[in-house]
Amino acid sequence: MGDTLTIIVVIFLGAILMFVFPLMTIAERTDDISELAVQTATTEYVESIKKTGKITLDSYDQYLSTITATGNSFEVEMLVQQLDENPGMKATQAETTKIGENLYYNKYTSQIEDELNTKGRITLKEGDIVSVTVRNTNKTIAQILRNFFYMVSGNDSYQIAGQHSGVVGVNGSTSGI
Amino acid sequence: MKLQHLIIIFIAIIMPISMVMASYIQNQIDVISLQTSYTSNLNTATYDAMKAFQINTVNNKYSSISDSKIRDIEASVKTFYNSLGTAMSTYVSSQKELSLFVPAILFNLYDGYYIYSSYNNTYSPREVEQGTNIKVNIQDSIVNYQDALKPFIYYSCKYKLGAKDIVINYTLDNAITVYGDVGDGRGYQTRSGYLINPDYVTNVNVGAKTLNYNGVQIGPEILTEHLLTIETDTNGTEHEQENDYQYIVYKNKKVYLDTHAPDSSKPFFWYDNNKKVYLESETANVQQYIASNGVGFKSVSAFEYYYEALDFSRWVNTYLKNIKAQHVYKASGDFTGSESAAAEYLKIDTQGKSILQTSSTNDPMLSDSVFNNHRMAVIRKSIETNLGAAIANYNSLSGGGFEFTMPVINEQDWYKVTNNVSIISFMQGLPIGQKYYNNYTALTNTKNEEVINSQSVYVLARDSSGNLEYHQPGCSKLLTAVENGTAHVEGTYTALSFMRQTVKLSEVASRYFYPQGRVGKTTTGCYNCIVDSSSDFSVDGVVSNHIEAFSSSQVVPRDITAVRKSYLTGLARERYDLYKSNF
Repeated sequence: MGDTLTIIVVIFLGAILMFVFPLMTIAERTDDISELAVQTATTEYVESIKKTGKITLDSYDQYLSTITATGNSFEVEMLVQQLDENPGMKATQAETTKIGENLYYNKYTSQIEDELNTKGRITLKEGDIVSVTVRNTNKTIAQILRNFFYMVSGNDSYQIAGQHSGVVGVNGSTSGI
Repeated sequence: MKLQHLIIIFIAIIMPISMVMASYIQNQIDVISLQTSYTSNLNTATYDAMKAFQINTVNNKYSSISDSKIRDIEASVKTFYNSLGTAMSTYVSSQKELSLFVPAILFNLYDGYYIYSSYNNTYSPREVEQGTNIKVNIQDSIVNYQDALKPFIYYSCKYKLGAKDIVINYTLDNAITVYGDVGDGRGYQTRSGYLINPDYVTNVNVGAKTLNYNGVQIGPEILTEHLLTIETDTNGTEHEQENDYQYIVYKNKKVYLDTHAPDSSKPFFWYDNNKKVYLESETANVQQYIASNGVGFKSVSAFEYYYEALDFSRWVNTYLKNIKAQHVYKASGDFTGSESAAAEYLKIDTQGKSILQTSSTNDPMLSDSVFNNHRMAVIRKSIETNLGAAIANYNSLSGGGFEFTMPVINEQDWYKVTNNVSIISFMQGLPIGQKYYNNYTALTNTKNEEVINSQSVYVLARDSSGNLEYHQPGCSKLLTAVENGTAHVEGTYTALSFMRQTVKLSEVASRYFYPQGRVGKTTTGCYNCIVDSSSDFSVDGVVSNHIEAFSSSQVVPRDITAVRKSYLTGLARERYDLYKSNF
């Protein structure tokens, strides 16, 4: 009886050590690599927007295909903050000692996608701010295993994420490439 | 063998493999993360350098003068190293060490470029006699590497066709300088000017200073600027005053007219150090200049631009109309000889078309003309050759370990560089894990006093209440408002005059003004094209009177005469009034 119990425990431990543990480690590693790929792609994408002052449909599609090439599905949140110096200009002219406060108008993902689909491009100017946040919407193997073992669940849990933002450094050209 | 033993053997085999793999993958992750962070730092440092150059040149009245420009560029380089050094302080111990990984920085200006790089300064304070009279201070044996700006290099290209043996210096716009024998029997000569299509210029009236350019009338224009000046009253107390003044550009400097000047016989002033400096002895010269123009206190720069460009373009079209890409001499001194060889050399195929013969199909004002494509190819070739050499020469200083070579610069970056003032910075040889970092950043700038490109001017429109709004020339809202008569075009000015200017009264007190503001009225940027920055039509469309929508849903064609007239006048005036040292 005692031997049988030991064998069952050993089989159980053996299964965990030989299958589940390596699987979890590899799955976690895969997600790390996916996250790195997503973070790198996001950084490169935002840096290219900062340098060119332009978001094009082509570059957006290319960015999406780069991140989805990791085998996961993603939710991309883009935010473009457009600098409006007009309140400052009005205030300054009325009272020369004041520097008016500048405002930013926000454009969110759906608006950006709509504009890209209609115009094919969004031109930005020096001083605008662009930020991109991305996180996975599917459950990766690591997440499934972790949820199973740790009893963690919920919609907000994500495994792969990337974020980058910056100030646009150049006025986007409206002609040429 | 028992199951326990199998498990132990399995763990003994798998654990080391797993640990090595984990360590290797982590190492790769670190390398890529570091690479991304370096690229980000390089971008930021280059942006800071560009910003420093922009601020220095815009606020430096003498920035066009070579020495002053060199000072501005050196300040920009310092900013670059400061910014990069701060960002990378974790990885490198000093800025000096950092500079070892930056083989070159390119400063791309209006008619040429500087390369900031390391070179062996063989100048020796000890004089060496050679022959009877010649004394030189050069010693080849001296090894004295210095980081500094190399001599200015023009965007030049040599051509030879029969008796014609010329060198053409290109610029970032349609201005060129021709040196050499053009085969007109006058031997070696030098001519500079703006290249346009001379067929577009008609009805020239030199007396009235008017002409027609491609369907729009170019003529004298009244220019106005809003200034904040520091006045000193009779008690010696200083106070600031704001007003709108008309101005003209005389001898590359703005001369303002003060209708309420203390001495009505001397109504002209320069705006120096935030004060009105009334012209004394120069007044007579300005009056003579105005009288010779015969159109009153109005700017005739736009007329002069097209009039001089007409004369120059006719000359070019007469003597240089057969120059093609196949007549280009390579930097090595070999002749390209054929169109295919020239296409391979310049990396663009102009299909045997004449480069300098301008017509409606080769209009240098348009970005896709043969002239413009060739111009960009020449600039690119020149930069590639010299930058490649500068970076390769850097190997002799670095002393091995990493071989510095110029990375491949992508097409989009080349397009930006050949059309705008820009900085390209390189960072190479920095160890990241098992690899070396090798990357570059190309950044352009449109707000400077170096060049007026087609997009660095804005159109100012006045609405029914007298308030002003500035637009990009291809703004749909502007075109509609002007078509409907709800706004009328006031003028076109450089983008710099819409930037806030600061008047520093003391260390703690400052005043601000906008040169294109008006007393009692507001001047604001259009929400459609300036704030949102999404111009609906391209500038090329405005120039060629054929606007094409970016999307098919927008209506074309439209009546853009008023906007086009203002744009073509303003662009010409701003280009003509820009100080150019070699013209």
